[in-house]
Amino acid sequence: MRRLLAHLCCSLLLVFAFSVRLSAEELPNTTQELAEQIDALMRQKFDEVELTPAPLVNRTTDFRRLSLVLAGRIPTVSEVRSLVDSPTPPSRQELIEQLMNEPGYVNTLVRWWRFTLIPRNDLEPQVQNRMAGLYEWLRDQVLTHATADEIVSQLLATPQNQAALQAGNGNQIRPDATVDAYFQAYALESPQLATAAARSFLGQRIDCAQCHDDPFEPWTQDDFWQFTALFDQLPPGPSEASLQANTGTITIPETDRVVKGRYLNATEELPDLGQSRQQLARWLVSADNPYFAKTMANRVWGHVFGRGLIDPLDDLGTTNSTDHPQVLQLISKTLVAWDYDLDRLIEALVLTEAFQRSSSWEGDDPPADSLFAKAVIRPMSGEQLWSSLGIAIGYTTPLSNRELTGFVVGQNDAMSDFFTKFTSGPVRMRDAEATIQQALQMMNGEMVARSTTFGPLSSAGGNRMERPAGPRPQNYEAMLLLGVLSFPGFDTSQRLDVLYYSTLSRKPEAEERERFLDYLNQAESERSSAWTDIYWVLLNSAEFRFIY
Amino acid sequence: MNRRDFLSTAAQLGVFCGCTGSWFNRLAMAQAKKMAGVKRCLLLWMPGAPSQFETFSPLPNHENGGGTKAISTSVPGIQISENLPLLAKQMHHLAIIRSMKTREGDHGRAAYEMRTGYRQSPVMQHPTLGSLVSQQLPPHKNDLPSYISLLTFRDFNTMAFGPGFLGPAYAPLIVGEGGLGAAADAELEIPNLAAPPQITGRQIQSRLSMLEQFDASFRKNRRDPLLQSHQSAQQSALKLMNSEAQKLFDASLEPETIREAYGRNRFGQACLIARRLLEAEVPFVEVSLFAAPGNAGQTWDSHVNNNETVASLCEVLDPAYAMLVQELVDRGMWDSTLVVWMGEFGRTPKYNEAEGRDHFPDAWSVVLGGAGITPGAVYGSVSADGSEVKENPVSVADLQHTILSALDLDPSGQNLSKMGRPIRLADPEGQAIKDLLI
Repeated sequence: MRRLLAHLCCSLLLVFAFSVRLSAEELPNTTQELAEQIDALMRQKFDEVELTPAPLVNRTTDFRRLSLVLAGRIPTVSEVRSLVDSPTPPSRQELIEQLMNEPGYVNTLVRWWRFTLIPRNDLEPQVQNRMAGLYEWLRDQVLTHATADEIVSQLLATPQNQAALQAGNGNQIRPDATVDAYFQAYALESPQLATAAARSFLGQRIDCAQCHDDPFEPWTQDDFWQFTALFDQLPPGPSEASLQANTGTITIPETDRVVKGRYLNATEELPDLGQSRQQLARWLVSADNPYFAKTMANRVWGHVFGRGLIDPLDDLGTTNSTDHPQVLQLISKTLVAWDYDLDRLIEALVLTEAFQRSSSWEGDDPPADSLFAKAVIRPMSGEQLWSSLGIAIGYTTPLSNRELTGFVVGQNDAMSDFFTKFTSGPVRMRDAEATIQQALQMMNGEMVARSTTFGPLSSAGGNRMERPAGPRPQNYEAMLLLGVLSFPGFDTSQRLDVLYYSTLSRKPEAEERERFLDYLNQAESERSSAWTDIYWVLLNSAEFRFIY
Repeated sequence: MNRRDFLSTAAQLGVFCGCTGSWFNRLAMAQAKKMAGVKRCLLLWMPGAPSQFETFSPLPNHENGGGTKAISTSVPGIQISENLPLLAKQMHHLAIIRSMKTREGDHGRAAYEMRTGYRQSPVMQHPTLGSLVSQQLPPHKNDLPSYISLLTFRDFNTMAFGPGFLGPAYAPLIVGEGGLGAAADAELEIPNLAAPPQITGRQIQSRLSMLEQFDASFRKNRRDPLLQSHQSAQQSALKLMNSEAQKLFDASLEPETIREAYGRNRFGQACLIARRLLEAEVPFVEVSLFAAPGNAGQTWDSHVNNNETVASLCEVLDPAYAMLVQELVDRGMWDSTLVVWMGEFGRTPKYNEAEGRDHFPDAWSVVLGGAGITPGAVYGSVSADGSEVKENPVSVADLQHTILSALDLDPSGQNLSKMGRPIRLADPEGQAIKDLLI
């Protein structure tokens, strides 16, 4: 009991100490300062629950993780080599800077925004056709370093009318940058848009309140429709809800109740009518809105760590909490103080010790993911896997920036084929359970098969459906493997190193090296096919497939 | 004495007493049902929500019927829409529920509720019907997964297609996902099932054993469900690679006349493959219909030009569904195979300005048939204008109870969710429709 009391006093003191420390003037100025403050808060939590967090990972594992999170790909052979074989390896800070300056970083952020705005993989064809426009728009924002509040308020305030929606063509080489696809993804329906905006930007699930007062959350049906009334100026969709044009009011379906537009959780109705979506956009990112900063900070954390401090990312409601409330408070406030500069927040998060913890846990029960005492394991997203596989097999035609973000599903090419099987989108990877089709794709699919087989692949056998007519990349037939095996001056052990660098971004462990060299020696005359076996094993390993 | 013993005893008693009343017929049929062995289930899933008026519940004498004619069926007194002439001839095997009264009018949420039997909630992920049924039915002996989903269309709600808290072991094998704009005659095969021809069987074995060892050491201090899921997916894939299973997906092994009769389109051929899979004792198969020639990927969501949309999909549905019934009957599988036809909800009785019908969960239709289901029946009715249920409303929970009961599963049985909370197979709010169960 005394210990409990002591604990309690400690906790109270801490809360007090930090509420003082978190006042505006004490907020960190640099990314390094923020990282240190986060780690300090986390250490306190670990002390409190008497937990020793996992140790930090080695440099190669760290670099692989950094590359995947920041640039959406594994390191290249030469990058790994510069880290493990060079007398003057680059510093961690240099690596982070490089990664954040490459096109892959922009792509990653664009994809992050896309899934924050529309958290679904499969889009109706008419929406899919317009996605290229939204990607262009997001790309422009990210490239010009638009801040998160600018992006969201611009997105929501953009007028939508029938003419604008009919103009523009997603199939142009350089499509017009428009946000139409966002509104079309929600069928131009104000209730759907309101629900989505609440999830994306406020971390609130108001869905249930569309039909009845939510029994668990504070949202009433009136709250839902008052918020929905703000999404006016939409061209008529198939909505059953009738929105009275420019009056800022809405009739709740199946009732005769008419409600006026009101911000979520606001006590007063909107002061003036009309242009309510523009007003909404301003409120959403203003200091009056208690949810936006917290939601965005948590989302960025989720992107970097593979899981939100609060998870799921779109549910910061009363039934959901975090083991690190002070960390969330700190990064939310800092994000506001830093004018919603996501790049800086991302940089601070990867600078933390928390980011560098091992995913391996010795001992009995591993701690809950929500504590972040060890790294959260998650499979690569479809995009990360595609790009990483390209690096690992020496696929020499790299994806253009636009391809990665603007591809159109439904084309019969290797990439769209791939993306129909692997979960796309960076935010829900903890839910992405592996499927038989994914396993088959990695074991027998064209990319891995071609890169681990010498000679042409016969089209006979069970692969009739694999490739409908369409463009196919021809130039990755066991290319990397051939290069490794024919490179003069390498001994067997060094060749094995290169295969490891290209796939797992590290040197083989002594015991692994011994095992694989044995395997090669036993193969004798079929040595080259034994090499394909090893390569195949590395590409199909869980270690390759996961961010760990 | 359990139910089975009772039925068996009662049936014998019936024989000794020379009893011929209809109650006895029912008992005898129940006995035959038991003898038919293990049940299987086929779900014909209709994403987008078909209009009840242009399919199984026409209103020829009311303006809300939209001019669609009703035609007689093989059961006197039961009429269905003129869009389904071949199914009309199979009506004596089927049972129409015309009084579905449900709560969700949004595709995603309704798909979830119809397919899991529970309303979607942020705190619980319920298994979809196929995962639940294949988990509950006795395991089958072949290498195929227990739940195979053909032409899966998950756009409205991926959550409605997952194993939920049962975990990845009960996830469907998805063959032909989406398939928007695919050729009408595309073959349905499991992609990437075979290794390249240069790779010998012995080589595959050594690759696999090295991989197993490699991954085991990676997993050693990482006890993570996602890593287990990775491993179990690989193991299932291997089972598939080693089996003769892929032949089941080859419709070209069937006589040309049969292929034609099902319809030379993806749905028709998928239904034929579904029959082959059911014959191979796969416990749960589903086929989705979301595209007809000329309206790729439009689904049944007929907000615009309702009559044309529904008619074009019915042209695909009618021959395939009718052939399925016919073939399952001919092959003696009908009494052991439950066939469910349903979408998310129905369509509004009144047309909108675009000649379309909008979402309508208040009064709509579902069709059951086969194992455990009274043949040639209609259950429930709606008002003359189709706007409300007149008698015997059926909720989603009632339907789930009926489906599970027809498969000899106990709807009040429990599964343990991930959070340790027991969840009944069907929501205890509902009850099975006794009139429809044999």
